[in-house]
Order: sequence, then C-alpha cells, then structure tokens
Amino acid sequence: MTAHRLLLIEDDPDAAAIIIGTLTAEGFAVDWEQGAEGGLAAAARGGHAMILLDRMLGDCDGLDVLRAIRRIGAVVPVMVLSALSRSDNRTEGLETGADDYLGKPFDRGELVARVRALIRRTAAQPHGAVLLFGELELHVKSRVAYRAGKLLDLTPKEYDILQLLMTHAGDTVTREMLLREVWNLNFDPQTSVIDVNMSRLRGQLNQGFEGNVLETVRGVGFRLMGG
Amino acid sequence: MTPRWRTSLTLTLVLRMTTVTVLLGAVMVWLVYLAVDRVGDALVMQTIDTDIEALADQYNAQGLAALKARIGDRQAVVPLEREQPFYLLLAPSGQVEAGNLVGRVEPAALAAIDPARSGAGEIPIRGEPYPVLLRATRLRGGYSLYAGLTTRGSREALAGLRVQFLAALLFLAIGAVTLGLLASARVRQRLARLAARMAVLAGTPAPSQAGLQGDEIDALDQVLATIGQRIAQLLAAQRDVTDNIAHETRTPLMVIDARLQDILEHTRDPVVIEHAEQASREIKSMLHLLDALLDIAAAEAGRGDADGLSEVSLTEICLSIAELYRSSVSEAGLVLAVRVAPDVHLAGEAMQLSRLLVNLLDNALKHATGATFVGLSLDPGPVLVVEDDGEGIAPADRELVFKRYGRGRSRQARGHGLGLPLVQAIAKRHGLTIRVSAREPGGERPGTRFIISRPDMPEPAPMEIAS
Repeated sequence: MTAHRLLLIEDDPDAAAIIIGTLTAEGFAVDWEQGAEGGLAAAARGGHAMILLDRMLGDCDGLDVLRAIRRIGAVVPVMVLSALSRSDNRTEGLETGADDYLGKPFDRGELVARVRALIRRTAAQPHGAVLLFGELELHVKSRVAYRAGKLLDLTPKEYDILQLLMTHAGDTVTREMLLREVWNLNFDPQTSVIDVNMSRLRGQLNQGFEGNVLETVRGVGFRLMGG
Repeated sequence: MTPRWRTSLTLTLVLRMTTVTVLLGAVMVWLVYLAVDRVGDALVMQTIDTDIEALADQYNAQGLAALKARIGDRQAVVPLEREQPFYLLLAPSGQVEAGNLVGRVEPAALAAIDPARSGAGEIPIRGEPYPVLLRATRLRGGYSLYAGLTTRGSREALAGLRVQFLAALLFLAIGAVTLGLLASARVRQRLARLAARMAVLAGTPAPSQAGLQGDEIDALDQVLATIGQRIAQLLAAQRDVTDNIAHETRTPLMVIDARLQDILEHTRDPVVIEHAEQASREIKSMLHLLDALLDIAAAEAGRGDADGLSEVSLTEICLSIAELYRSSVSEAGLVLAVRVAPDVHLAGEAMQLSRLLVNLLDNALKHATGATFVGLSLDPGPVLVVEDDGEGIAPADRELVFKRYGRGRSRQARGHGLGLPLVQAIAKRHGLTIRVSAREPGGERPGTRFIISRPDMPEPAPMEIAS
C-alpha cells in the first residue's frame, strides 16, 4: 500500500520534528513547510491526503491560510493544530472550514488516531444501510444493533457511540472525537464520564459473550476488536 | 465663531419653548380681545334698540310733537357715562325735524343705513374720536328716526385691556425665559459632570464645548464613541495577550511532554518511569489550569455583549448532558434525578452553556460527600438547579466557592478551584446569576443547591427525592 502523503505547515521546528517523527513512525510521508506562503504553494500543488496546519505562523493566522486554501478550491481535508485550544477557538477553526481541530499539546497517539480517522472519513463511501464489523452488525435506518445475531439493548446515545466506533472500525476513536460527535462538546470534562459510559457500553456488548469487542487504547481512546 | 445659543441644545430649547409660549399666549389674548369687543358692541346696540323702541312708542301714542319733545329732552341730558346719544328725525320729504346728527355725519355714510329695513351700522362722526353705532327705523307717516351712541366707553375699555394683555404677555415671556435658563444651566452643569466622568473612562481630557461639533448631547456622543473604541482596543489587546500566553506556553510544553514520552518508551527504570509520568501529569494539570483561566477571561470579556449569542435549547443541552453523566452518577452510588421542562430556550452560546452544566455536575460528583442523589432541574425562566443531599457547604464558605482557587467545600478535593468561577463567568455572560444555598438548612444532611436564573427570579422549591 502506498503511504499517505501529508502536508505539515508549522513554524516551530521542535514541534514540527515531533509531529513528523510521530507520523513517519506510523507509515505516513510528511512534507513540511515552515511559512504560510510556502504552505499555501504546496497546498496548491496538491497530492496530499490531508494538511496539518498550525494556527500561529509567526505574524500570520493559520486560519487565513485555511481560507486561502479553500478559496483556490482545494477540497483536501485540513486539521488545525493549535495552542489556541479553548472551545471558542475550536468553534472558530471548524467554522472557517477546518475538518478537525487538535489543541496543543496533544498526545501522539491522539494525533495518529485523528489523522487516520480524518483520512478514512474523507475516503469513505456513503454509509450503507448496514454496518458490519466482526460479530457486530448495525442497521443505520432502524437504529438497532446485533452481536452474533443477538439484539443488543442499547440506549440512543450508546447506539450513537457504537455507530461512530463502527464507522472507524479497527481504528482508535479518541475521547475528543466521542465528545464532539456524540455529545456535541468540544471540551473535556474533568471527571471520567467518557470512560464510565464506555465501560457501560462494553458491558452491553459483551453480555452473554466470552470475548471483549471494545478495547481501551490507554491515554488515547477506544477501538473495536475482532474485525 | 458660532454663537453659544446656537450650539447649546438646552439654550436652543429654552428659546424655542419661550417663543412657543409667547405665541400661544398672544393667540389666546387676541381671541379673548375679539370676544370682549363683540360683546361690548352688542351691549351698546341693545341700549340703542331699547331707546329707539321707546321713542317709536311715544310717536305712536302721542304724535310727532311729543316725539320731538322727547328727542330734545334726551339731547339736553349730559350723559354720566361717556357714551353721547345722537338722534335724527327726518320728514318723508327728507327735511330735518329734530336731532343732533345734522352736519356731523357724511350723508353718504348715513344713506347706507336704511330706515325701511331697520338698518344698523357704525359710522364716523365729526368731533368725536370714536365712531357712532347707529340704528334707523321708519315711523308711521313716512318719518325716519335715527338713534345712536358713541362707542367711546367700550373702545377705551378695550384699549385698557390691550395694555393689560401686553403686560401679561411680557411677564409670561420673562417668566418662561428665566425658568428655562435656570433649568438649562442645571442640565448643562449635570451634563458637563457626566461628560467629565466619561472622559476619564475614555482617557481623554474633559470635552470643552468650544472644541466639539454640535450640542451637549453630541459632545457626550463623541466621548462615548471614544470609550467604545478604547474598549474595543483593550479587548483586542487582551485577546492578543491571552493568545500569545497560550501559544508561548503550550508549544514548549508539548515539546517537553514529547521528550518525557520518549524517555518512557526507552527506559525500564521504575524510578525514572514514576517521575516521568508524574511530570507528564503535572503538565496536563497545568494546561487545564491555563485553559480554565483563559475560558474565564473570554467569558468575562464577552459579558453583556450579544454578539456570538444565538437561540439555543437549554432543554436539549440539559437532557444530553444528563445522559452523559447518568452512568457516572450511578457508578458513584448516587441517583440522578432529572426534571427538565420542554422548550426552554435562551440567547446563548451552546458550548459555554454545556460547559456550565458539565462543571456543575463534575462539582457535584467530586464534592457531594455523603449524598444519595444528584438532582438536575430546568424550569422556564430559565431556572436551572443542580443539587445534592450531601453534607453541604458551611454558610461562611458559600461565597468562597466562586472565588478563583477558592475551594470552599473541601481542601482535599481535586481540581484547581476554577470550575465554579468559570460557571459564574458563563452565567454572567448570559445575563444570569448563580446562587448557592442549602436544600435543608439546619438538617442532618443540609445538601447543596446551585441555582442559575435571572436576578429577579425567586428560588424554586427543592426537588423531591424519590424513595
């Protein structure tokens, strides 16, 4: 399989080194541009599976670069990486046209999971009526799910979580993704509410079965197993 | 230079009000004057009519000689009042039989008053400053009788009235101007004080009328515009500072944390692992602290500003967050009681309102020692209450919980003591207040209630705990 080529626009060499190191270790190829102008030129040339864009590029706001990228008609997915990570900063970034927004500092596992999720989301075909992964089966329209043919007793939110996990089947879904996609929150509660909800869902999925299908990826998020 | 009265709003107002007052007064006086004039003439004419009827009766009863004698008698009487009577008796041939009008009136003027139609009118008379009011009538045998009175009395009374009315108008004008100027001076004094205070806010010298365009209100408007610009500059500067703090702190911390992760990946020394993990946790804790401080600053900077607020369903937010916390509350051995009214909306920022609710529920989970339940209720208003039946907060500590780093409830508790100050800042951003009270004051488990509502809303009753 050809490695996905990513474009990183980041002015801080130390931060860039960490990001490039993390992503190349996971099999991605990364082109690095330090300035807004070079970044925009590279984006215009195309050929990248996605762009990672820092917000504070010296005197230039990365969101202006993002606007310029969208203005030239590029539809490549863009993830903003930024130290400006308060909830209003995130809202501003997503409203400007970013596909994802990751606050600095980030866990390296979180970065990899989010990059994979974004590339998969962009490449994915529209959802079929039924999602399948291992023993799990999810009917999108009727909002019911089965494990090995047994109907699962899920609350609406548990169903939403399972659908998100199955959309990213095999990949890690981070806590931030869960909060954003299922609860529409772009900040992290200080208590372990997500872990407790996931633990309850795991109980529902595993009830009456031997094997665990929902794995916790330490410090990052959750992943379905058995595909 | 433009004269002062043209640039001062209050002086212009005084001048306009005085002009209107005097004009209205003049119109009223003129109407009264016309009415008095008409009534005066009518009274004189009534006297003449009575007199001419009496003379006609005399002629009918006693003949021409008696009539001439009566006319002679009346002309001989010197009137006590100022109206002088005038008479004229003409034979059918036009020959003068009696009377004192002969030679004192123009024949043409007299001809305009027709005796055959009992005509009446006002004609000038020689030797008298005022005209005479005259009535004519035709007697049997073709004689024509004219009787009249000068209008001297009523005209002189009217002249006196004119002088009195003019004096009254003058006093009215002087009174209006004096009162207006006093009021204007007071208003201008207060406006000047207000402008001086606003100028301090704007950081500019107090405005002097000479240096400004327009009137006093324009001057205030210009100072207000300067204040608006200054606030915008300060907010922009604050945003720059917080953005730079975030950037300059977070990027190096990310690099340090990455180095710690590298160490963790390449060592098996338990001491090094323990210290590296501790350092990594402390970095995350510091970032949470920084986030909370920046969030409070952002919410406070937006206070009272309707920009960025849109209609959001508080009902939906409450139900969604309640669902998020249901398992955690249950795992903590508590019951989550939810009572949410349908269709409660608010002009707000959905994310901030979610943050508010999350912080209150986090707070309840962390601090509700000895509790059996956590309640979340929403009523129209909106009135949002998060409560528990735990040990509660000592009354002396209640205000402390909203102070940054206050931690009034428990010194051992986790966190930076910024959750509730952030809740308070978000509430204020939405024009709401937060109060804290006990569910059962003085009870064994007094519990705690956080009530978020508009300032004038009464405190709702505590939620019932389902047995």
